[in-house]
Amino acid sequence: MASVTVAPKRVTMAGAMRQLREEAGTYKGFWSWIATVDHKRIGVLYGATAFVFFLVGGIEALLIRVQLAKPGADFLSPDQYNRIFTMHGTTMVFLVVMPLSAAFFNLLVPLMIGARDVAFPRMNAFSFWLFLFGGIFLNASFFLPSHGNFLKGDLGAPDGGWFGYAPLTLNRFSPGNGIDFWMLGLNVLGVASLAGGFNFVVTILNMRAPGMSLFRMPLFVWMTLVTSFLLIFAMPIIAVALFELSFDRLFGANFFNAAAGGTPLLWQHMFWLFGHPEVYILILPAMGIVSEILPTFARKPLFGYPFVVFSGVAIGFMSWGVWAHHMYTTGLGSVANSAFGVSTILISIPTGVKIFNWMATLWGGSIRFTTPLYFSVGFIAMFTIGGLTGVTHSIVPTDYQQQDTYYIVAHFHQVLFGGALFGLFGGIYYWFPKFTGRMMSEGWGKLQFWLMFIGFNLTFQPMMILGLLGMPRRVQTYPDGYGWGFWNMMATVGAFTIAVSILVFMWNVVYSLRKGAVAGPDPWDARTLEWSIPSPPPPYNFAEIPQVHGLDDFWHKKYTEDASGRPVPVAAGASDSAPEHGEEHADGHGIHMPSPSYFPVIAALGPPIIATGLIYDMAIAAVGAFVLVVGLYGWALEPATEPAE
Amino acid sequence: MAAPGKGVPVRNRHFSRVLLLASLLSVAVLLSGCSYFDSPQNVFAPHGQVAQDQKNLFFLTMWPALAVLALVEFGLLYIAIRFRHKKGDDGLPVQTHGNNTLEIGWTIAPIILMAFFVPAVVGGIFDQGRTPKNSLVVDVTAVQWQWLFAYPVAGGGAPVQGTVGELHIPVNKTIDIRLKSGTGTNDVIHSFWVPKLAGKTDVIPGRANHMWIKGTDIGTYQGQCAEFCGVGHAEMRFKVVVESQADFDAFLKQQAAAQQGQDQPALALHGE
Repeated sequence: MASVTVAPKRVTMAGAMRQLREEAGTYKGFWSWIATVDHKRIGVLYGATAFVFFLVGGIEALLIRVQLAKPGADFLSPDQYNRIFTMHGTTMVFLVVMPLSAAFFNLLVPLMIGARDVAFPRMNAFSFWLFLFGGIFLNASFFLPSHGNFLKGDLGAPDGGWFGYAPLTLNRFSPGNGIDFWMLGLNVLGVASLAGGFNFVVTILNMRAPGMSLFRMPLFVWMTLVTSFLLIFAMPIIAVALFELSFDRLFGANFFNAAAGGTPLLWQHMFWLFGHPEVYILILPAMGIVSEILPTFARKPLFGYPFVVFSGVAIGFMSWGVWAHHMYTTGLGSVANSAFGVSTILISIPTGVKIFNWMATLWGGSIRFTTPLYFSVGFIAMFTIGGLTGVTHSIVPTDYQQQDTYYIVAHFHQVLFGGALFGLFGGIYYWFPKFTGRMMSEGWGKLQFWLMFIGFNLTFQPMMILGLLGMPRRVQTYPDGYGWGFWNMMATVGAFTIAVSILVFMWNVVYSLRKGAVAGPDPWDARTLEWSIPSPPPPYNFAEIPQVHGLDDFWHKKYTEDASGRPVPVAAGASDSAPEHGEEHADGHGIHMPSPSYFPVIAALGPPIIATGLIYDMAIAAVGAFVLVVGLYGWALEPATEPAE
Repeated sequence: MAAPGKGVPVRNRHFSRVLLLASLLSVAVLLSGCSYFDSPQNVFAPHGQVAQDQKNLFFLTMWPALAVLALVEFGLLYIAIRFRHKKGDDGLPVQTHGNNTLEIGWTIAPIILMAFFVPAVVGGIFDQGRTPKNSLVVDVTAVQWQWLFAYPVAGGGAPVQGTVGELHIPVNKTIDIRLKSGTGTNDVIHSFWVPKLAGKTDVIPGRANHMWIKGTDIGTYQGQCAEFCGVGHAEMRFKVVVESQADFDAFLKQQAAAQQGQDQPALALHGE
């Protein structure tokens, strides 16, 4: 505010920073997005960025499908194909499904637990920027081949598969810079995930509104808690594995090179000890989303809330004991294979419990068939196939046949696309009105669902048959006469159908942002706290922190059950909680919110620069380290909230 | 068409017709695809004992899995039709919060179901993990991007070299496949896989993996590297020729003769 100043103040660094922060705090303009520490804005940034990477990974998938549509095609060279399938997997796991889940954590967790922000708002911003810069760093490798020209089709991207098995990833077998970008990029992204994991554990454990005990938390918050713990324990494992690979590649150490006494299998153990919990990191958030959507539209509470919570927690624990089912064919021996076969059987139990509980939630309901519900039912239908094909992996001797075939490709796409992505899309349709204030078009939404559902089945069911017909994974071509052409063509047609469904989705977002019906605070007559506040929520979320009295507290403020268990609406004004926010607080005046900050962005620029330096020149790494230190130093000295005047 | 309001509502009937059409269509597509099942790497057309055992185990578990799948998918359809919100009915359904008996039931039922598979699974693992005695030993070496075969001779002489990319084995005899990655210096990881004879085993540098196979029918079977190993991975194929003992002996003799042009009178192989 340019008030009347007697004498011009001396321009100090602190003063300049303060002015920048104040400008960023206005919620207007480009820079307010860069410096934001508001969990809702960070959630939107996460979602939008992940969606752009989703388009990149999707285009990579289409390139793969074009190449494989017919036997003996040469649309892509083997080298290009290897780089593209590596980036497809890496992108979809680390740059799409994980950050899309993070977008939902950010958007929803504080609102669902009745908090005004996450525990560490600036660390939250740091997480996002590190994810963005790490993703750009990883994808920049396409344009930076160590020799050759990008424009002539020489790609510099990594070529070792998303699983990066040593020794194929060592310098001798993969000489370019691609693997360097991969191992360093994943470590940058890992730090972002770790920061997010810690942030949400602390937020959920410490920042719940009064009365919200753990067993009154919405299921999505529970699944976020489990996922965050998995992140905290899983990311360090891959970080260590990647550091060892980095030492091998950059400094000639010897962890994995068998020729000099290293152990290639060490990589696989560490990768999958991270990799299997990672699968649950990808799927649990979607399970949480579905557990929120089904009760709303069945108009019944979640069936067996404690069972669903505990099965999610059980999955979290058990996910640490199944990693070697990715390694049955490596010769671990009969005892190890039997043990991991049995543990794989066991982990299917809590997953099955969830499926039956979801069905029982719908049973006896009065189901509103909205787009979010379509996606949620689609999730159950498709995820079940993924789960059952997963159970077949516990039948170890048959897995000796299926390992590394298209059967596996089909299986995990059933889980991660038919499961995770269907759930996440359902979540987008469900919460879009909350954060934009407008409903998404139901017509376009249902069209998208059916296109995606049909395309999905056309793409991935044939892959199951292909695997059983003996088609291995990661081959860029196959000969005629193997009977694979028909099914591959079908899968390619399916993949393009999915692509059309994504175009429909993008159109729906654009259309609904401009012309969607105005939503109001609670368009679905839903159950959880975020629907008790305006859409879009004000920066401070809750004018008054709510007092929680039970599970689905918001629902119970709207309805009370009569003697037969049938809910009847609470008469207006009868509830003790009616008008939740007093008018005098509605403008949020006097609520102290964390200040915006530029330092998380600056700090997040450091690690990718250091990584670039490790590849090209240590001097660049020193610059990166300087940027990082400046960012962290400024961050530490900056006041977290503007001192009151 | 019956009057709406009686029996199944028109809307639902329309829905089930679309469903029927869709399922007929998918069956037609599957049938038309059946002619393609005659594939040289079809795991459901085994010609070896291990592959046969693996196929049997697959079908043992496939039927219960399909039953569960049908239960869930048709259950969802049934629920979607029966509990669909009816126009005009704006009352809320009974708010059931759970049912411990049911939930404990569907936690324990799958455990019991799966417990039946455990003996077959563990039995299969140990059976396939233990190479039968008196198996014929073959050394398989995988290099980027070729398969090399050699037949060790008893007494430790120079092994008989096979042909590149073509493994010959006698019919109805168990073969101990010793897997090695790289000649001299080390190579990357590969995986030895002949779908019609047996599942795969990885070929890992610095690790002495092995597996056993037994071809039960004379013929030539396709094999392929199953672990991603670089730009030549897709083309890293090989053949396994399962032949009569006489033909196999003749093959060895010919190979031995070609090797350094010398005659090897006694061809007592390792394991024979």
